[in-house]
Amino acid sequence: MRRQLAWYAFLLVGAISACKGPERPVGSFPEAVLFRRGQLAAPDSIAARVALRERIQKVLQKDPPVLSLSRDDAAHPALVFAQDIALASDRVRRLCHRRKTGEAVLCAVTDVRPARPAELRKANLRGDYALVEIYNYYYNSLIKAFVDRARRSLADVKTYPGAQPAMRRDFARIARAIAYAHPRVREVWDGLGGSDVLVRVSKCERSRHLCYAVVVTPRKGDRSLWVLVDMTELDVIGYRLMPRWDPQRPQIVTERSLQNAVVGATCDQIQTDSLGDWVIHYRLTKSDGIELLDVRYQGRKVLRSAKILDWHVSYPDRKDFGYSDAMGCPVFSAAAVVAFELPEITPIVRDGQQVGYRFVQDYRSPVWPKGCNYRYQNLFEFYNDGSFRIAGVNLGLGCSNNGWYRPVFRIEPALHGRTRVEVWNGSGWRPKGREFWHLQDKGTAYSRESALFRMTGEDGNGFLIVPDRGQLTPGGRGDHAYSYFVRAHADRDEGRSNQPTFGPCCNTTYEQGPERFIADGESLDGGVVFWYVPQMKNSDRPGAEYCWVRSYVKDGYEAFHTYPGTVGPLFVPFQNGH
Amino acid sequence: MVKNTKRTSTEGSMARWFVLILVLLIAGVGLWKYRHRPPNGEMAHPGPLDLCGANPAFALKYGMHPPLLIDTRQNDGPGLRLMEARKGGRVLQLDNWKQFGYLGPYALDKDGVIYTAPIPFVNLGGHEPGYFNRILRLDPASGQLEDWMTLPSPAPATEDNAYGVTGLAYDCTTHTLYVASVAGSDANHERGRIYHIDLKTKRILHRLDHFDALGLGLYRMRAGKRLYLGHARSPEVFSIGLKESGGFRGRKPKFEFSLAAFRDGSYDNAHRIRFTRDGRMIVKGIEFNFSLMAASDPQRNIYLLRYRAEGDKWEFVDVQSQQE
Repeated sequence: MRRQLAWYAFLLVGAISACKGPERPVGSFPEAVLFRRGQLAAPDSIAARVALRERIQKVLQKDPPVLSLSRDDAAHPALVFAQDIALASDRVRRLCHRRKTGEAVLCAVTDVRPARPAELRKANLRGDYALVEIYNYYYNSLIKAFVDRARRSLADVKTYPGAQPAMRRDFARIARAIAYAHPRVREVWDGLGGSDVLVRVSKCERSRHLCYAVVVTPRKGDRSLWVLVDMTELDVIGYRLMPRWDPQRPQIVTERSLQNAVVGATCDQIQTDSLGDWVIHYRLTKSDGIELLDVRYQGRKVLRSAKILDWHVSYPDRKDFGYSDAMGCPVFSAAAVVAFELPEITPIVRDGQQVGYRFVQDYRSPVWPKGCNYRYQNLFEFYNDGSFRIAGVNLGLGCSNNGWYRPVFRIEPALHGRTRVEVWNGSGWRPKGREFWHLQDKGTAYSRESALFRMTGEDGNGFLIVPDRGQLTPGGRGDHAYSYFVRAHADRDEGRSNQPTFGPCCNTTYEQGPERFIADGESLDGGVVFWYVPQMKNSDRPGAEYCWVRSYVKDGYEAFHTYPGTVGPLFVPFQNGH
Repeated sequence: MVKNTKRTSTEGSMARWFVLILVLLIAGVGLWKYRHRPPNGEMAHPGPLDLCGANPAFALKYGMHPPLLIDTRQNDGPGLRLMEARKGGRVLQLDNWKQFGYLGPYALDKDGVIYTAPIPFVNLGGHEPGYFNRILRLDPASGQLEDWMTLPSPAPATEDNAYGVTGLAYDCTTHTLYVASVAGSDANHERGRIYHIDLKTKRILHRLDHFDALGLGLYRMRAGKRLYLGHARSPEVFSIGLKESGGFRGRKPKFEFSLAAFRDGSYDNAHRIRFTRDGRMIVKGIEFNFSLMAASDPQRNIYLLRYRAEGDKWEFVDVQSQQE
């Protein structure tokens, strides 16, 4: 008997082990992970997701374009009749169309239930009403339709922008399938062993999407896995390991908290990447965006530091109205336009050939592209021939269509010994012995390489500095930049350290901040810091938009068409003076 | 018989002791209650502790008609504004009110004094990070806004956290001010403080350490006065009991609720906590990450809770999303 029991126990342990699969300790996984949005993180073959997409396509052909709730998925099947009454009404139908254009936008019934007393009070209703809750994906709003149960008629309709709907059971099943299908999520999920799984509504405050959280809690252990699923994009946003779920003191993961945890952990941390012949070091600063540090090409140091300290934004029709916007870390920083995601590095391909790498770090105001919200990017391009571009991108929207933007670049090239600075004067290179500033305007002449300045080290190696006149970016409108050449002082900060704000927002002259370092017109005898302040004017004129963004309806959802304004110079290396 | 007499004598002695102890106990409780009675001598009922604010006298001189609203919304520009609380009401802003830049929390006392504090908005406005750890006072007679008190900081201010004073709450019963300051806090150290300040003497009477708070709110529960604290690092709201004199009961605030856990709740921070006479707690939730506020952040959620006398506790009612 004993032997038999021991044998059963052995079998049981074996079975449990087999269920668990090959385990990795949960502690060995990153605490929080963010997958890149817009690039399908989970495999596309999940049957439930494919089926939902097909259903959405069919629904969009209908009027109203609403995903209805089945009796099986309704918490109160007896009230499902109210859904038909609500969806047949003109008022609800209108709310599932874009206000400006009348285009159909996707809605979904998320709940049919008895109306709560507080809801009835707010709607000034008394009696027995069923409430049909409808989520509008385009406006990220909740429509509440009150249906009189006795009269079987629509009594009132209210809209609540930003309110989150109840969870649909069928959506919860899809969210769980999407979460578990993601290989990196599955690895952590399986690593937790036998688990309880709970799906609950979360929030995507920044993207303004419908989001669910799949919470996986092991029967033993002190942590829960939170997988955030974007139910608008039908994809996994990321995951976070949290303290074990405690209903008494719930700790929630939302899009914002996950992004801040992941991106915030990289603040001021120096990262290194090898990109072909290039090795770059960089860090997300508190309020100077990404700072490139110690950049090397084929082992040779070409750049000590490059960053954008501020975006000066002014609106000439309103005197002294504007902002000095700092980009940077989303937490504990002096930035107002912050990084939501980690930087993205992609190959630059021209005519089928990879010619370099593009590094982009995106920053946004909380609810871009709503009014007075901003979106900027650091853009660095590293080409296989050793040239590189340091650029800033403005994706709107700002406070009006009369906005001027002046990003302040600080660039410290790594040149050998004393640096010689020259300006193209139309016929040749004219050396500059002292600190100076220059405005790129209509009368500016460029060398045959399109360069305006030349910086050369003592060893004869250096860079041509090529401002943008529209040739560097498709749709570009030129830099129109103020340039400042300043002697580098090892014993003075002069913008090297992180700057919470730098210069006034609304000056239209060369007085953008760097001029303070050339006040004494010192000799350029030593290392040189190059400051660059391009100028761009936004436009919302149809067909000529610039630094602008427009919303439109795509497959029933809200999508954005951006009209980026990109500015910043190209550095073209030369050796031994050629 | 003797035996019986003896027993009676012992029982009588015990009974006398019992009565004496009972009397002392009742007297002790009475004395404790007397010593801890509200200053106005009345029995206290649950209700807000800050609703005794008087209209500033200067505003009436400028022809403003009460009731008046205090407005420090940053999108309307720097400084504060006084507004008549009616449609199309007048708005008053003296030049002197803009000189300290953008303002944040405010409190109104029984004499019509407005206490407020500067905050960083979009950028530091040319100020050093340490600038924002101060309280300003708007004089009710002259209408002049003046620097009233700079608070000590547990660590030097850095650009990682430019914030200083983040919350104010006035206690009518003690004529004192509670001030939340997050100055000196950083990503790894929660160094925030709650100060209890005597408005007559400017003396810091009490201090609670290691808690980063935004919104502050005072309410008398049946069990006594409580200070409610919106946590700056999480969507949670805490509270701490107060003595009648205003001092803190204990050193550790108690967890009350999480805004994120409510139906329709968000990962918001309780930025302002307000109470009404009819027993409502109104919490304004915003995103706060110790980075600077954007020029326009139209996302704020208003959380409504109702006081329940049975159980002497708060019950969640509703969230309303406010989008501009």
